[in-house]
Amino acid sequence: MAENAVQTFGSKYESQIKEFKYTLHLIRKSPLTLAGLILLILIFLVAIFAPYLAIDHPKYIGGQQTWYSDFSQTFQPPSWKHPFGTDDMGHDIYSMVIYGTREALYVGFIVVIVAMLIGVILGAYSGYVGGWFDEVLMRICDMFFAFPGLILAMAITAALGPGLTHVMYALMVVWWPAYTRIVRGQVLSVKQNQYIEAARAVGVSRFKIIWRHVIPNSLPPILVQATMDLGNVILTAAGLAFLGLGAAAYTADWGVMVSQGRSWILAGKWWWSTFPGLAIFITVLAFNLFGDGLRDILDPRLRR
Amino acid sequence: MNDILLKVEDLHTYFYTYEGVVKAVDGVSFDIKKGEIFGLVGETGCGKSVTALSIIGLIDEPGKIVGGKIIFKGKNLLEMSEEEKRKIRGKEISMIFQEPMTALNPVYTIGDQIIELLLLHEEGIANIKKAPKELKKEKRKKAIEMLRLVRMPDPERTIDSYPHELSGGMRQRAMIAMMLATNPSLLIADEPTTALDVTVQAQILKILTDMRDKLGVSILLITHDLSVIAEVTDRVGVMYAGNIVEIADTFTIFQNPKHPYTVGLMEAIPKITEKKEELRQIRGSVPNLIYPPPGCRFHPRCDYAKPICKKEKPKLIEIEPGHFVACHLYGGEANE
Amino acid sequence: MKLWQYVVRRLIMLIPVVIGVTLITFTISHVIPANPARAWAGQKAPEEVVKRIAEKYHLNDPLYVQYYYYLAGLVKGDWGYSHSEHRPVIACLADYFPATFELTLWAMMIAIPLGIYLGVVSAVKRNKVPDHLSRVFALSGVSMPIFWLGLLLILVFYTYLGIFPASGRGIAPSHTYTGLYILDSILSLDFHALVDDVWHIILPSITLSYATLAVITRMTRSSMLEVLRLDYIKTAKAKGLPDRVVIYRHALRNAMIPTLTVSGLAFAGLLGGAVLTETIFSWPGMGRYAYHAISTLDFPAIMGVTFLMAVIFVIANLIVDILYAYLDPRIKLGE
Repeated sequence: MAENAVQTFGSKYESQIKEFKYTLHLIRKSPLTLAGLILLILIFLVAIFAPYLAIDHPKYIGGQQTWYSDFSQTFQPPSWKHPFGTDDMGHDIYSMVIYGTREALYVGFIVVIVAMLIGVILGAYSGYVGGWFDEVLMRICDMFFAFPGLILAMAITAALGPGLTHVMYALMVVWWPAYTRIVRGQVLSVKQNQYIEAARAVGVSRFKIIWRHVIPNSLPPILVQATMDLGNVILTAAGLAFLGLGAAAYTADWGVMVSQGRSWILAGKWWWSTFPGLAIFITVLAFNLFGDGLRDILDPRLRR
Repeated sequence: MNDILLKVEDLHTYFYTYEGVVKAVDGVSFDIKKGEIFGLVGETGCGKSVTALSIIGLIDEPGKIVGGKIIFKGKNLLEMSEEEKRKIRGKEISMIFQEPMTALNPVYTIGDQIIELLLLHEEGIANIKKAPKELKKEKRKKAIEMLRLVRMPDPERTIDSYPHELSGGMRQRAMIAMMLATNPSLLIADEPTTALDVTVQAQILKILTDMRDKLGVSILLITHDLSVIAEVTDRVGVMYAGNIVEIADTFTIFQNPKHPYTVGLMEAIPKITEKKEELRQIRGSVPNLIYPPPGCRFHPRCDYAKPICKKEKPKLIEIEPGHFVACHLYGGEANE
Repeated sequence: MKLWQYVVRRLIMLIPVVIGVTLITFTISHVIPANPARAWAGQKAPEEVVKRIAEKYHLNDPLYVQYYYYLAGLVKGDWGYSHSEHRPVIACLADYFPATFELTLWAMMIAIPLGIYLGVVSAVKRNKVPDHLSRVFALSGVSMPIFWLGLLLILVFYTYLGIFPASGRGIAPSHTYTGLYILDSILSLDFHALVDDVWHIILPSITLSYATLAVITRMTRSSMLEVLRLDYIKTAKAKGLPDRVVIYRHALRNAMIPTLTVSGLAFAGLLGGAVLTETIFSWPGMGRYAYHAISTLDFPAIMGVTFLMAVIFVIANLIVDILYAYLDPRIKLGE
């Protein structure tokens, strides 16, 4: 009996298992993709175990993140005691960078997930039903595409008023049209397939077709896009923070830290800006390395 | 012997892929005489296109020619440097492809693409932009002549068209005109009519035979279509799973096929004169070329397989003048 | 279809896009702020100024009326009053535009040729060492925070090595023709200014170009890989053309078509990046103006920069479309 079941499973999913094994093989053969994956795992571990890795820890006073200021320790260059040095208030930069990982990932994931959800719902519906709804939605997307992303996010945040939450709202507004368009394109191409025609011909409901057939089939390119966008969102959020639109000063936000440390660079106090910037760079690079490799690997045209 | 233009001897071209080594061409031998149209026929994936690309030297990674000789005009192409081979390509040996749609560069006019080839091989100028105006004008005249030769309608105008402005048949004509412009000795035509309508197919085939008659070019015609073979070729090689199984003149192949695979192919052709219930088909399917069957590669599908067929690969032997077969059914007598 | 007909058609198609842009900037400036008049007047402005602004820009009327006056204002050149500079927004933009234009122009002149070259090398040497190097270089470019790169360059080349200056555009040339310092100094034969201006633009233009360079490298690589597998490349090789001609004349010309589209889109990154770069290098352009506007809550200035940047981006994409038609003979036939 059991053997039989194993056999059925084996034969039923034989091609999928083979493809999956081949995918693993490709990841192994692509050192850059592998490097991205390893870096990502490390970054997630840092975020999860931040309280164990950091030397100092933030307190929340009235919801406001505050760090212990030690005025005898201002502007210490990197040392064993303060691996990344200290800022003008004697805050330990290393600990702030470690905790900053949490914030960066939080911003990235929330923004991308919300934008993706909006995109999947609107794009799938729009692509599937077509007609005036599709036409109007695509024109609306075009309006957003006419703006450079950072500039649009800057204007929206400025209108809402500075702050991390507002930055996230602005980034969602900037990012949803891209997903809508990708999902719609995917839906249009999946819709051409015979099995969708067949499902429709036997009277399967529209919702069911979209949910069961259309969305799963358009998922791979969206996931690749999402991986790369996680990096882009973190990068843009850091840019807004640098312009003074993000989190408050002296919080564990990488962009804010680079911004605050910047005027001290000319005085040779390089560490304040350098380490948080390096953290942004490595995190975004990890997402891009992995996403880029993933795209090559999942692209059927480049697969063989 | 002197009338042999190209001699392929025991050619082996393998592809080194993730799944394993694909032995796409595994010991192919044949020769092409001057002014002859030689057909290479077989199912998709039997190695006929790879044979053609091996001859012209366009095997890309992960493919590699691992053994054999390709003797063209007395010289082994496989021992030449890349630079020497490049000078032969397009000048002595030309090739046209299946899809005239995609085989011409979409961003240049037909004329530019022909003139480029003429400048390269007649004047040694690789960059068309650097050629003097006078020279270009001269080559342009020659290109128009070539287009007229392949019966391109309105060649003075067509020469300035982009490929997307022409129909499939006209594109294939342009392709033939281009590849014959340097008056090569050998033209390789890889499924030149497969992508075209039936009526256009006939025209293109007619043009090919005309070109042979007028220019004396030898043609290696690769196709899976037996009617094309019957219409234009002088001699035929039948390929199966990376091997040549039979070579004979076209008439013999159709009237007196010897190899069980060739026989099967012939029986699969519908004939108007006979009333049969259904067409015969060859049982089984084309073997995997990574782990091909041992011995004769056709034996799992062969009705006449003997024990020796599973062990020993039959050699290509001449059973009557000009008729070669690789099959143990005939090997015995001829060997003695 | 002739090329000029195509251009005219594209120009007509521009109208709805620009209307779309105004709809979004209108929403951001008139609908999102809790009190638009207050936002327009500035947080520190006295109550009567706020009142006057609300009246002048019809901010108490229904939204469609406000939109009408907003459009009319944009057309007439009344883009609001920049209270951080005590003059109209449009006057500030006119002053700062040439600096930004010059910087982005230089960044493009670095990014496009170099990006295409690296992409081609990467594709031709696929999965070999040059490919890996150029991919790492390109991925670093799209991952690097522009402002951080600028800071590192300042740290190395100004603070430590003292080779390049860290701020400003350099000496103004003796005559002004275009507002582009380097061009003007050449035109007015002011070589003293020329040297100084070139010296000043090197670090900012490198900083700004890196991300775009990376995007173009990646796109060129992937479209070259796509093109190199096509039949007409086989034809070109069968013609006996040298590799160089096959790659640059036959493959690249075709691969340029998608690359060009991406270059147009990458221009958005360039404009966004200009804001960050100008802030770091105190480059007196629109970006630095926007940064100052943020820190002084000069909302009309931010909206002015936003609108102008969107218009520039739209025009850049128009130019790309026209180049596209020039590169690809199939386009003019109509989609």
